[in-house]
Amino acid sequence: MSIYLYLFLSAIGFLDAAFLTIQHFTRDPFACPIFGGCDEVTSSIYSQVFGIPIALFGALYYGVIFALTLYCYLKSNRKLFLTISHLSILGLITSIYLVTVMVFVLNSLCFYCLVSATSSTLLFVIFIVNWLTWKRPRSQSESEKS
Amino acid sequence: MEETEITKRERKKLNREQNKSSSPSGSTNKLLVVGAIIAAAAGLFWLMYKGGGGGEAPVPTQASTSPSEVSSNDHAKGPEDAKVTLIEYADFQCPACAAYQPIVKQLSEEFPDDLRVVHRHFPLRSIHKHAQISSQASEAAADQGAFWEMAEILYTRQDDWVNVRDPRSTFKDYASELTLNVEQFDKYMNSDEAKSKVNDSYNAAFVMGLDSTPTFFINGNKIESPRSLDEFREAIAAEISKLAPASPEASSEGEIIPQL
Repeated sequence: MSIYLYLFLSAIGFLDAAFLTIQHFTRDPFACPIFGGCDEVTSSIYSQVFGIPIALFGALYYGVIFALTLYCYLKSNRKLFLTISHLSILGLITSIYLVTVMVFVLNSLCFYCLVSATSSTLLFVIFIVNWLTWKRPRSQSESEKS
Repeated sequence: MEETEITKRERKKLNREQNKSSSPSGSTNKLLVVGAIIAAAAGLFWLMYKGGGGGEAPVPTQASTSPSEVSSNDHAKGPEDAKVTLIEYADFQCPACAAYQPIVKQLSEEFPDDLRVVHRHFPLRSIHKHAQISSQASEAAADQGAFWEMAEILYTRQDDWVNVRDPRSTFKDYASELTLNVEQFDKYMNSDEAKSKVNDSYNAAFVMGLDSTPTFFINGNKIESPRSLDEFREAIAAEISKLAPASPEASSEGEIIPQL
């Protein structure tokens, strides 16, 4: 089940980040639901690292997660899936940092950025749940045997 | 230890066998599932986009995208019927804009009847941390009728606030120096209204294809930023003289017509 959610969330994340990347370059003023802070956030000094938009890194990150998860799914390789889902720690940390910047520094929220933060967080949550349930039966069976 | 090794191997073998048994029809099924997941993700994203009013561009702003027409939302100084309108797209955190501030001020003093100066926000947020909030501060001052006074302070004391982490308290000091109502100033500076005024102006400038500050327009014509006060003065004087003889000529032409 978790592998399906991974595919789904990373696909959402990819679309979202790709959209933000395009917006970063075209700078088309675009519709910004609910909070309305998209322009300020996506054109702020924090929206890029070394001149590369963070959204582009986001798109790459989700793209890689999607591709690797897809590989594991097609090969039915659960173990590799657990290994690659460690990547979600990276996404979580980045998301926490970016949301902190939005809330405390820019004082503006951007809907599409929060969508990405949410999917990163969910990917991490699934990873943790997965990790716990994977560990438990194994250690139980090991302790039973010894 | 050995036992676990064996169980691991066994598990792998089992897995492999399961894979093989499920692979012929399984792989197409899997691809279908993946397709469905991608479609669901794309669908959800599209719904969010459409639901959020995506596609329809946000209200094309109240800010004027015309470099010659001055609207009531603009910050303008000088007579409304001035022969020359100088529109400056500027960012309070931009050092070059600060360098032009005394020049522009001098010009409006030298041509009190013929020059109208207009400021439009173009905060370069991607390179200047406090560009946005300083523009909002100027809006808050404008709310109490002190836009130009605040603009001058922001420019002349740029060095004092550009490296501060949160310059808002500095701006409040400026407001109290200008004997503004500081509480009202603070509230307005952080308001959505101030934000959207600045954003509208930024978007308009962006739509016009501007990419740097300051960008000057004299009567709607973009000019290369003059290097000195003298050059600037000449450009404006030239514009005035271009328009000045126009009226007597027009009247003489008017006299010619009846003769025909």
